[in-house]
Amino acid sequence: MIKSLIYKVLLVIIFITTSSCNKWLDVKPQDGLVRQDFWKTKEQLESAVIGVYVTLVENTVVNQLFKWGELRADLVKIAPSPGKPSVDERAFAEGNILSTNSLADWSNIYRVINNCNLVIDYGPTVRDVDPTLKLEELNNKLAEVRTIRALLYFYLLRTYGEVPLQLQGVSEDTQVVALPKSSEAQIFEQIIADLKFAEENALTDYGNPQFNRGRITKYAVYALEADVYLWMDKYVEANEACDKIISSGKFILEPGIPGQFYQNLYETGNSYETIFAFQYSLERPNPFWGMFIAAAKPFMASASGLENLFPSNPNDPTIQDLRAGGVSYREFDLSVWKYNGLDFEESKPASESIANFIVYRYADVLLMKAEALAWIGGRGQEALDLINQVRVRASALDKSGQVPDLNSSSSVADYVFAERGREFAFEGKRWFDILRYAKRNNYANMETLVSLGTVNIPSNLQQSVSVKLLDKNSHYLPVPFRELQANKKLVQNPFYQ
Amino acid sequence: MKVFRLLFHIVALILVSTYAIAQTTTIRGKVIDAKDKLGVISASVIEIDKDGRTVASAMSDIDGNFALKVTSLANKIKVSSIGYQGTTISIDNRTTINILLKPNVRELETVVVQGKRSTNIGIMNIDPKHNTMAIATINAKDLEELSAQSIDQALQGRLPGVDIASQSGDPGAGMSIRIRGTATLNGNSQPLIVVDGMPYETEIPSDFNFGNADEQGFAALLSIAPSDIKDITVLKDAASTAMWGSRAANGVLVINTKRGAYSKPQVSYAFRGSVSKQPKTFPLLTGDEYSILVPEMVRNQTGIPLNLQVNKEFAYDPYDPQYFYNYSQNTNWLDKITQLGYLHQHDVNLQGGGEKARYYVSVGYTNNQGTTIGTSASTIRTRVNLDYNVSSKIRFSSDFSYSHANTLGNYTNPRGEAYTKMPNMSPYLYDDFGNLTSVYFSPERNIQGSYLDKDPSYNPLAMASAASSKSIGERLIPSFRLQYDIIPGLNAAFQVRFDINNVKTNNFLPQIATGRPFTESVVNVASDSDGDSYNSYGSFNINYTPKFNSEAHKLTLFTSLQARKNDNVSSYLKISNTASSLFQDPSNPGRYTGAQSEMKSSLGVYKEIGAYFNAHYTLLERYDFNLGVRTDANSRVSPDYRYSTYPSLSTRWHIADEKFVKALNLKWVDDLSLRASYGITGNPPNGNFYSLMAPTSFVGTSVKDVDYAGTYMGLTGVMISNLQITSLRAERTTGINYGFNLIMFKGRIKVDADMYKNVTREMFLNNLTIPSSSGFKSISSNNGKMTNTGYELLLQTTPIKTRNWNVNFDFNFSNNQNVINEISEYYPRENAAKVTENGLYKTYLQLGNPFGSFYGFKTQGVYKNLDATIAKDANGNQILGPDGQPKYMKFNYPATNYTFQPGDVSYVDINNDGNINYMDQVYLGNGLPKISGGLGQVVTYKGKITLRTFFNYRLKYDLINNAKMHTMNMFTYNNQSTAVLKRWRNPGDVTDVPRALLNAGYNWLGSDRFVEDASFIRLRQVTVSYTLPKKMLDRLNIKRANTYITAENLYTWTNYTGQNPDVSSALSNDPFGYPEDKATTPPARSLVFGLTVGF
Repeated sequence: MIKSLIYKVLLVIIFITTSSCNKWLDVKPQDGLVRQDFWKTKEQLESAVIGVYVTLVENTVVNQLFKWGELRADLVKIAPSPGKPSVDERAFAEGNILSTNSLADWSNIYRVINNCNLVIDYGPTVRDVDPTLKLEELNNKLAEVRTIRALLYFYLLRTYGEVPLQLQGVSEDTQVVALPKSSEAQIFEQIIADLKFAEENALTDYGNPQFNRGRITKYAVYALEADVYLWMDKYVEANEACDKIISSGKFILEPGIPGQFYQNLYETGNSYETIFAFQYSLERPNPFWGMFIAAAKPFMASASGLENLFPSNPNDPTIQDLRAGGVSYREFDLSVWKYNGLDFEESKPASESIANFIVYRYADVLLMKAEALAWIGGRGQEALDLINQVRVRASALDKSGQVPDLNSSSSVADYVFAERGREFAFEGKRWFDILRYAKRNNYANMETLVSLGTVNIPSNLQQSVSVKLLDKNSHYLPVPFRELQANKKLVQNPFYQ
Repeated sequence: MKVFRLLFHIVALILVSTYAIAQTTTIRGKVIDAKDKLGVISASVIEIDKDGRTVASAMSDIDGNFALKVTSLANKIKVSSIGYQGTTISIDNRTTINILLKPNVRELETVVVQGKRSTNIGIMNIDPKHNTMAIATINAKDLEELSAQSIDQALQGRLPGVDIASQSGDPGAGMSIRIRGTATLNGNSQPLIVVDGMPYETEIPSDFNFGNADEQGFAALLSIAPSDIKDITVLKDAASTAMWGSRAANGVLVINTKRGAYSKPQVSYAFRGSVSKQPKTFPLLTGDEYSILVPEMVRNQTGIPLNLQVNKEFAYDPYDPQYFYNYSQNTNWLDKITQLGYLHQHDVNLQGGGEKARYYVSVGYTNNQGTTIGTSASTIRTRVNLDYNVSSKIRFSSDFSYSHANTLGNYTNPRGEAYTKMPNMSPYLYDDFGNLTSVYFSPERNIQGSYLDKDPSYNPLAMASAASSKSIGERLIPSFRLQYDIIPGLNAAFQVRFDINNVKTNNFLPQIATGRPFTESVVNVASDSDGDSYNSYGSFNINYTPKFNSEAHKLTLFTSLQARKNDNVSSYLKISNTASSLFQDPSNPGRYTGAQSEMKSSLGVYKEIGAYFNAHYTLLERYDFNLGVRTDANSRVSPDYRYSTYPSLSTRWHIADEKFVKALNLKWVDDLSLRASYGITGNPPNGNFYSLMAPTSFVGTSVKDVDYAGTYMGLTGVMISNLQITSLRAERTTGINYGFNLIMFKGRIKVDADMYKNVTREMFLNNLTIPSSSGFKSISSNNGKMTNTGYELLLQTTPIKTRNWNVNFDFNFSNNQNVINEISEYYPRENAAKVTENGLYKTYLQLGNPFGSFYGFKTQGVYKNLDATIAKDANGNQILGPDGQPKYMKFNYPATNYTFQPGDVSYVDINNDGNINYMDQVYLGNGLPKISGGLGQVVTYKGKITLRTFFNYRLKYDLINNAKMHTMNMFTYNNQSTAVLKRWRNPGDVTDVPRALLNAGYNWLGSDRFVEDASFIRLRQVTVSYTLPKKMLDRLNIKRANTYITAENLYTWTNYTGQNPDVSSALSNDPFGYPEDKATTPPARSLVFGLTVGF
């Protein structure tokens, strides 16, 4: 009797202590938030969207996006001593890319993609808890992050050809899956699906001129759409997308007034020409000072690359294309000047290197449209007018002008290609432009790629790099070595096998 | 915690009932000396109840009269006075009582607590004879005569199986302690330290030390004055450590502090003073020799002479006085930043007490100046240990300790820079007339670079003297314990302890230490980090020893409930460009932009609870069995795996007591017994992984972390910071131990030997590669299996024991091997060292092979001329190309494709293919010592003069002499050792030192050139001590006095050419780590003088 009573009391004590202990042992971080406590209000949803932008403009990400777009092309070269490019930077720029090269590591990009995915997964659940979140508002935000996801997959598509398509947010270990690579067509399809959604739902105006350029608007969606369609040789769709921007009447070319042109478009940034740009601030300077101005700068502008684009004026060397010295590069030491110049001569100090990284601007839209028109056919004059619009603004020299055969698509497209080089020098687009130009019509312009791709290669390596570039698989980066180890479903790009 | 609340109520009740008020009656009387019949002054007269609890008390006056208000005439009164035998008598309803007190026959000098000899192993006492576990105890008396400031320094080499290695000889620098190797790859690998029955926090929260003071941190944590320590016990096998469950996988160190005893107040004072000198380093080039080397190095690389217009440091041009005077010196930078170290330490303690209350109070002060300029430490420590017997059933003790440590360190370690600083540069500035000024010569930039470089270049003397890292630590540990004897044989104890530990570190880098202009953000950088940690522990123990009628059975049951909570808060503030080098605190305005400025803070909580049950059964005094079970719950692991149970089982067989052995009549054998034990212990994930167990942490970003710093367009964002790990759990180590004890010749020979195998499963790995398309690169997981095997032996002998002479000789050794048996395929298998990278060795993780092996090239001198560089096949014939011309040796063809030149190091072409590449890398050595330990002897003459020596050793291990590598590579503008004077210069030179080649070539690839056998035996201590004779002391009115002189680190027997061979990778838990001697401050040679006086 007594024994059983003791037994019962003991049981009760054990029950009470273990259950209260369990609660006592549940410790939540005090300097962070956990998922269960998050995704409850529309303000939290908004801060998660901002979080996507914060990771997007992180230096590691921009560094890579920029270097993917420039290092293998003709305009950026390794700076001579005392510049200190890393081993990987040198190998990348000199056409000796291995799967262990840190610049071929895609993890930084996927980190942003995961943040996008989480918003896409959990954003809709906020509405269950917070009725003040309207469906429309939710869709505005989803449009933003889906566009950023599309933009990043578009970068990956152009850089690797094929990559795993991760669309599920990962926030716990059980969600980690090994995905095989998706084909180019599948990635393209996903990008378009995201953009179609965004096109419907993105805002056109945030009520703040900086937000309208620093966050995704409908126009940013169209610009990206045009770019994606051009990559896939879908010219009619590209043209339509461009038209939607042009017809909105919200953007103009920044007037070509020397000094003011640079100030407004690049130094201060966010001019009427800008459609979407990564915004930097004193708290978060951009990575370009270290890349181009610091004593140990790894890179500089390539004289031979620039020579092709901006031929010197034989009559009066002081008369220049507006986009040449003092805008794209500093004349006396060939420092890359976009992002870094305070004025013609003086560079910004490291701590104030806060110029924006422009992803799309109106001139880009005009030239994309010109390119689309060239290949649609029969609209050569329209295309030429667009090119000239950009050239006139920049007071382009006659020497760099061309007289294309308006009935020949490729002839007009050649001119667009050349003009894009001048207009977007050092804006992280050159390699992609070269590749798009070269690969069209079954690599019709392979020689251009090989010759531009070897401009800055040291003479003793030029031969071997040329041979490498003839293999079209070499135009895409290898699957990172550590990814192959971690994910047995991945297959290496045959060029690097 | 409900358990806690309940316990508090119980305690409160007991205390209140003790002091319950009742009605009173006054008793009068006189206390009389039984011998001379005079009154006894100040005798205490106490009313006690039937439990011996004090109810009321009074004191006798000058005539021995007393008046005591008693509550009950049924109680007893107890009378006591120092110098008399106490007595207890019943009141028996009397109101006048005269009491006779008998004087003591002998004056108590020291009180020897009689009773069974027992060892306190933390929460339990055990009888060493019936101990079934692998433990080792050292008496603090053996360590008293060292200059060591902290106990870990003093313990080095004393106990088998306990490996302690210094990180540096600077004051306040920490030690790594490993008990029986490393049982984890990524977890915490320091042992658990238990002080007076409760865990003592030594783990620094990962974000506590933002500055550079992480090594100092650990030492500051072990802030117990060595003179307060009674003994130290190491728990080694799983059976003994299992009582600490999930925190004990790395072994346990139990420290007991001294307590007061029944005696008159005894005061003792101890003084220790020491002088330390740094041993000589290897010789470096003088300024003149350096100025010849550098131009040669440049010419060898570029083919053109050094441009003296640009590099005026080497022009030696008297018409350019600024460069001429400042760069034509012969400076020995190491000497400049080295000073004579000293230490003085004062400890005063007071102890004593009566039957009711006992006390031990100590105050200590230590001041220590390190051997590198700018390093010093001063510490004040105090401790109060009080015991009070409330009644014969209730005992109460309260301990209180406080320490205040003030450590002054270097901003960055200037020794590395001092080794490599150009010796032709002057430490102080010369003016244009050649007069030496008192201003440090800190050029903005010279040929060696500037402070802005990745590998900053600066004036080491200016750095050591002007820049600083000041740290102030406060640690306060109050503790309360209540013990209640419920019935004879059954007692309960309740204990709480609070541990408040605050550390503040202020670092400042003044402009003069860097030489950079004061407008740059790298100068006048002030930072302040503050870490506060608050720990609370509670435990409730019940001990039951039932009485059996038969002597054959003995049983002890023990159970314990424990809980712990740890909160820590830290903050860090770093600001650059304060307006002047006098503004050394970040509270002064400065710039808050760029990489030199940072603000961050952290908050952490950690909780755990545990329950332990132990039963010890002795049968026929010959067979001992011990069974323990511990269950732990921990907030760091995932909820599903929260509770884990750690059982243990151990046994001991006293063979010597068996009849069949006794029949042999081996009188000289006192004890011979065998021990065996089995147990499981754990190790929870280290660091504050609470966020891992919490479902996905979205960490907000204001200005918390550089990588995430900032906002986007003025808006703050939230993003995912880490993955939730749904199945995170503690590592489990299963240990098996076989031991053997032999005591012979009346304790004159004692042998204690153990053999063990510890298998760690579900190892905590924090960097398993996962597909990064998930948004994360790596994951933490429990995976893999690791085995530690080893043996250890402790031999204690007394070969000579006569009336005048007593000689003790102790010896110990141990061996440990660490093998990974299984590990995830996603764990990296080799270190990142590339074959073309100079200075790095290759290591691999090979399942089933012991840790610590490293690989690299073998060398065979230097190519003396062009012919020597011709590739040869296995038969020694020249390898010819398709064109019939001889092929020259290549390096890493085709990727690097470097052709070896005369004067380059000749690496052995193992596969004779004319190409030196990864296929020529071979095994070069292993950094784990085969055997390590110590030996010592004590010779005592007439109990007065004692000579004590102690050696420690590590045998058979290879060490990479990193300092030699970097002072012989002739690769940068760094200064070099004089060994490079015999470098290859002209074709035909036969030497083993290659040509100087600036920033080029492959002359210092990881090769056998820098691998040395670092076996050593070091004479760590020689002490002569003298106890002053009683006759002399009586005259001085001193009870005892002892004085000693100790010489430390007098000599090291080794073939190793570097400064300090005592660097072991055994203490690293990086599976890819290899031991490197990076020439940190070596242990100094010191001379200690000490004096202990007792009153």
